[in-house]
Amino acid sequence: MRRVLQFGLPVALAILAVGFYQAIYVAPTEATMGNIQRIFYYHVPSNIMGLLFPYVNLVASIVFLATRRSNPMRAQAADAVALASAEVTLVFVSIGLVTGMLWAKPVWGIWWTWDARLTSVLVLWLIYVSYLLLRRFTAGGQTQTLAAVLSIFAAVDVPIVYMSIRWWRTQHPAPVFFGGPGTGIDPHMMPAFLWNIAGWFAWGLMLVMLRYNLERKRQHVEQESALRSLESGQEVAR
Amino acid sequence: MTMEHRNLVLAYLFTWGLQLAYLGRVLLGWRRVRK
Repeated sequence: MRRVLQFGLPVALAILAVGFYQAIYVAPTEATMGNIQRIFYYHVPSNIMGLLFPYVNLVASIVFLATRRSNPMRAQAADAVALASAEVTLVFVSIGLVTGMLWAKPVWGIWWTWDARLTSVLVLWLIYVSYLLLRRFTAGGQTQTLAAVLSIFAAVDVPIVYMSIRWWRTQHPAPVFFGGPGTGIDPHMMPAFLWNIAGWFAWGLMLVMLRYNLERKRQHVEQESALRSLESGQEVAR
Repeated sequence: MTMEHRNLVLAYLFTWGLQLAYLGRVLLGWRRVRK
């Protein structure tokens, strides 16, 4: 925990500081949209992280489902990774949605529209809200298993989000990257974009590690207290 | 301040605000567990 904070936090903050400087002071002003386009340097990396961490969540959930009977210790560790990555995903997807709306109002004239990309991202956001509510408010031994199954639905939505602007040409701008000939951004904008991708990836990874450590600690405390109450129950029975 | 500038500032503030709030929540949770 302390090592993650001592090493990860300064590294992530340093990269993000360069990213911020590049985005605000170095990247050229976009010809048609003006300065509002600079939201892109936070909006796109946040959305990329919001599509990356669900796969961490998926892999951890599958490991949990596969090992929950044969290797409960490994399953608990996998569950902690799943929880950590789900929370971090929700943070990034929320930022993607809100920064997108803040960009849309001056450019499109509307805050929101039921376009394929926006709707599929909203569905992803709702799935992760449900995932965390399920974990927080259900009692009984099946909570982790149900959450792991729900994470599979979230992982199904991720490729739909990615492909939505390729399959359906609605309101959202066409793909900027990997969109075929004629797409891409000005090479002078690339450093700002890449620094922010690297920075938010480092930040997200640090958050997942911190949250994972916290969840593991909580699991140990819970196990110890369950063991203590079992022992005291046995003494009373004697 | 135009809407473009206001929304740009709001977007950056929201991003940092939410990320730092979440980091704070995790660190507070850590303190609580240690007690």
